[in-house]
Amino acid sequence: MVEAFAVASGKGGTGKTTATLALGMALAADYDVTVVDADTGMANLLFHAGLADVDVTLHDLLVADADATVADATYDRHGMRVVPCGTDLSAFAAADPTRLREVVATLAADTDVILLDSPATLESRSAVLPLVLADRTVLVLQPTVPAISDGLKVQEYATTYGTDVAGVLFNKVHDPAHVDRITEKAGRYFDGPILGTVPEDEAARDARRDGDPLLAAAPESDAARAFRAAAADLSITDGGADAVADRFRSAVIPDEP
Amino acid sequence: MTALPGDLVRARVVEDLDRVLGAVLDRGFTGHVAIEPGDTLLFDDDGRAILALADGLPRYAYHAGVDRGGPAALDALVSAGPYRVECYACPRTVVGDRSPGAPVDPAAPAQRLTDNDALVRRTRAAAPDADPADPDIDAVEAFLEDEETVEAIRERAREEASRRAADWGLDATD
Repeated sequence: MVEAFAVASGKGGTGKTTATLALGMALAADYDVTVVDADTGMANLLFHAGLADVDVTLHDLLVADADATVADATYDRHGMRVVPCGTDLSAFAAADPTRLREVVATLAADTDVILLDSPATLESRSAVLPLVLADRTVLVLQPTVPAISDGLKVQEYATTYGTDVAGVLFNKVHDPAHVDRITEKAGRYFDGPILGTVPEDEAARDARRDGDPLLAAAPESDAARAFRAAAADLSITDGGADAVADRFRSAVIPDEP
Repeated sequence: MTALPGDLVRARVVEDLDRVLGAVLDRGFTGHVAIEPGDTLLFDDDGRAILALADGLPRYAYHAGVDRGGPAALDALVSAGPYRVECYACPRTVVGDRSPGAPVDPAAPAQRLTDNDALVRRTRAAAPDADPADPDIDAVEAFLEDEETVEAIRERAREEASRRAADWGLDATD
């Protein structure tokens, strides 16, 4: 079985990368999970996952005539497979993001769940690509008007491109008691369920500073518990590895004009 | 020592701060409270923190030793008692205009300087609308109740996604 999720936000600063790794680690208790930093222009997953010093990253797989294999850029960390992306701008310039579909197709052959940490923007074809390629999307939002507006935009883009909404996760919430007032109302507009409310937690900041995923650094923190509860509500659909791989390989993505 | 605005109405040494914060809350004190930890007790500018309160609720904090305002001022004050505390009463209009430091959540001093959860809850209850941590929660609720605006955002996004799908050569029906 395999299902690919784009973890998206539409706005930066919502804790999307922290959420991607936290959901990945929580799901890894029951599934083979692969996390990919698909934010090729503003990669930061490597800093969260203690992979800042690795030699081969997704960038090396996205260049023409790549020598590196998908396995070379895949690292076993925290019970998951992690494909980080580099931060070098020249490597980004040389990379062709459309090759991401081939990378994901290869990964799909040997995993249950693929989480694509997606760019926090809809402003370019390469930025929406993970959203286009994924089976479903998880929206990570803060309970603010701009973040919810942008989350709604991401949802409409996703559904326009045939990607369903798996659920909405409110993250970095200062006052979970008060935010209940809006989660119900927000739920009326989103196609998927509200997966949970993750409190703002110093443990998340500390984990990022130390280069560890939250669930490894502070597994009993309030935020970690909330992420695990959200992951438990995320039902995984078996798309069939071959079907997913075929779909990724055949996705209609023409060359940049 | 820099003079604080207002009249000195109380000066004492206390073992912990929850009784002080509880007393100013109950009295609806408006003015400035200067707090100096017991390990300095020289009551000079360097060791002391200043809270500005309106109607019993802390609004601003400043710590002279680190020259920081807001939550950082409270963090600089964290220390075991005793404390020397001086209360300077002043009109409501003076608090803010002439208070040193930066705004704090009214419950933050109780939260950071005491172990008294009941006091934190009591302070929050007295300041139901003063929650700078989630200042937009009412605005978000109002936004979500405005169905017309939300639907317009969704509709515009769908149109934009379809138009861009054509520009980018994506298959919008995939």
